[in-house]
Amino acid sequence: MRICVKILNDFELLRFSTAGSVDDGKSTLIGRLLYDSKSIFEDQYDAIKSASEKRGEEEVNLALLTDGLKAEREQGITIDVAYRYFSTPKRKFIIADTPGHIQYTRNMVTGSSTANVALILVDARQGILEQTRRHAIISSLLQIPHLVICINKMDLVDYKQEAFDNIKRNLKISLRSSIYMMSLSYQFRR
Amino acid sequence: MNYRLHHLKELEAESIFILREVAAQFSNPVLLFSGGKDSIIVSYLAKKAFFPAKIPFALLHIDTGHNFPETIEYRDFWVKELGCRLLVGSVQDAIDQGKVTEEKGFNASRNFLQTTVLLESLENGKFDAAIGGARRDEEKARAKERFFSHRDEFGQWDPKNQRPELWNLFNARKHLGEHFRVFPISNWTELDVWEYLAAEKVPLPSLYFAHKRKVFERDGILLADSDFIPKKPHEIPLEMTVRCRTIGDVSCTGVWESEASTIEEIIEEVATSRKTERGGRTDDKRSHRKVINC
Ligand SMILES: Nc1nc2c(ncn2[C@@H]2O[C@H](COP(=O)(O)OP(=O)(O)OP(=O)(O)O)[C@@H](O)[C@H]2O)c(=O)[nH]1
Ligand SMILES: [Mg+2]
Repeated sequence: MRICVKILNDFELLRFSTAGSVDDGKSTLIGRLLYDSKSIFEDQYDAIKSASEKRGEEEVNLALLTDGLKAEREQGITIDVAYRYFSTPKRKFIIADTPGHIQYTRNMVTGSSTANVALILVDARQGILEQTRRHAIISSLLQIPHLVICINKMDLVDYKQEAFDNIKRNLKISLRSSIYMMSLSYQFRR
Repeated sequence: MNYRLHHLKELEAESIFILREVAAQFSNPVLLFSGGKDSIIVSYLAKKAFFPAKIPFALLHIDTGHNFPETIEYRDFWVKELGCRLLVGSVQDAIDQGKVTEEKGFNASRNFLQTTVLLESLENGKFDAAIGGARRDEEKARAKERFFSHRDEFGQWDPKNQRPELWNLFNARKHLGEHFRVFPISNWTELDVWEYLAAEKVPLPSLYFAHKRKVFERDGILLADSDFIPKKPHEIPLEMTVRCRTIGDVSCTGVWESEASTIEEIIEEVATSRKTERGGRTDDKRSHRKVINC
């Protein structure tokens, strides 16, 4: 039996969730975030790499990091919240990657209920959809203090500023949370 | 608002809340105790949650009979420390009574037989909640599990049909014959567990610290030399300095070549092994020896 000493790093804990319509790229974004922050173990990466190959996909599908259920992989959508963890030198993060499909809205609510920040993804080609509004309103009802609207898949609109501005103009929802905007493309390239 | 908790204190508060919720909502809970760090931390948190009263439930150990002797020694010490009751479900008894059949071959393990014995123990004890030390960062399906995880009358989890679990409200409604698994440390990572055990000076089994042991390699994994694992002719045990990263049944607990003999060194190892295992770096083959606890 051993006894130990010393108190350790004091991190701040931040919980955030993803939201937005089905297929807008929530799980891929989280996968990319984990990849870029080097939070993926090699065996995990190997596993999703071979799973992607088996599915006949050319690139490593980073959404498979959170879409771990058999049914999710068969259908290519998120069904229930996946919780993932990573940290930077300043903060520890608890991520809740939630489903966009309307049928699983209750799971989105489950994952978002404890979040301090919600990332709401928007497909740059599609703009604000019914489900985007629904998730934004739910996040606000849940009293998540900060919402970040992420215009994703910018690569598919050639990174046009205009596309971003149009969506920004269309975003007329009155919410109680403070809102930030950003544009992204998190498709994985080797 | 400038008030904020140390991240370990926040995780601790969450876990303690859940343990108290179990005591409030269930009529007959039990804490599953394997002797590993995760079940040690859950039982330690249970002690804190109800102090100065005693932990209001027993510990249940599903004993495969293929233990490291150190595990049993620690278990008995820890139960005394906590001042709680220990129940044991024996896989050996189930085999002797013909309820389960022992696997055959080199990779035979009693690990899978545990489930049957666990379910039977829960049924016999009429337990309606089994508290466990599973963490969401351990595995991709676990990453999806609720704190209060419903099990049907066959003990099955249906991941496609989980209940909502909002804020800190936990729903323990069930039909007769069904039960719940409850995971108070769902949100802890491996590193959080070690940092907390260090900060709280929790006594730990010696197996976690570097020690000399006869081991042999199989499929890239180091296994402890033991009567419980039949060796192939070319598998010659060598003495090495190793430690366990997880503790379970001898037949499926890999050991790790390590010099970490204090908890600080373990923390350093866990933190840096993440670094070396991280994407893009394939330099040190040794650091990739995967540790299994199936
Ligand atoms: N071109 C491009 N494709 C993307 C981008 N992000 C995601 N995708 C693709 O969009 C599809 C859906 O991605 P997911 O991450 O599964 O979407 P999701 O929002 O998690 O979907 P649900 O969880 O089912 O609601 C996948 O084929 C991704 O490869 C991006 O930035 N650019
Ligand atoms: Mg998804």
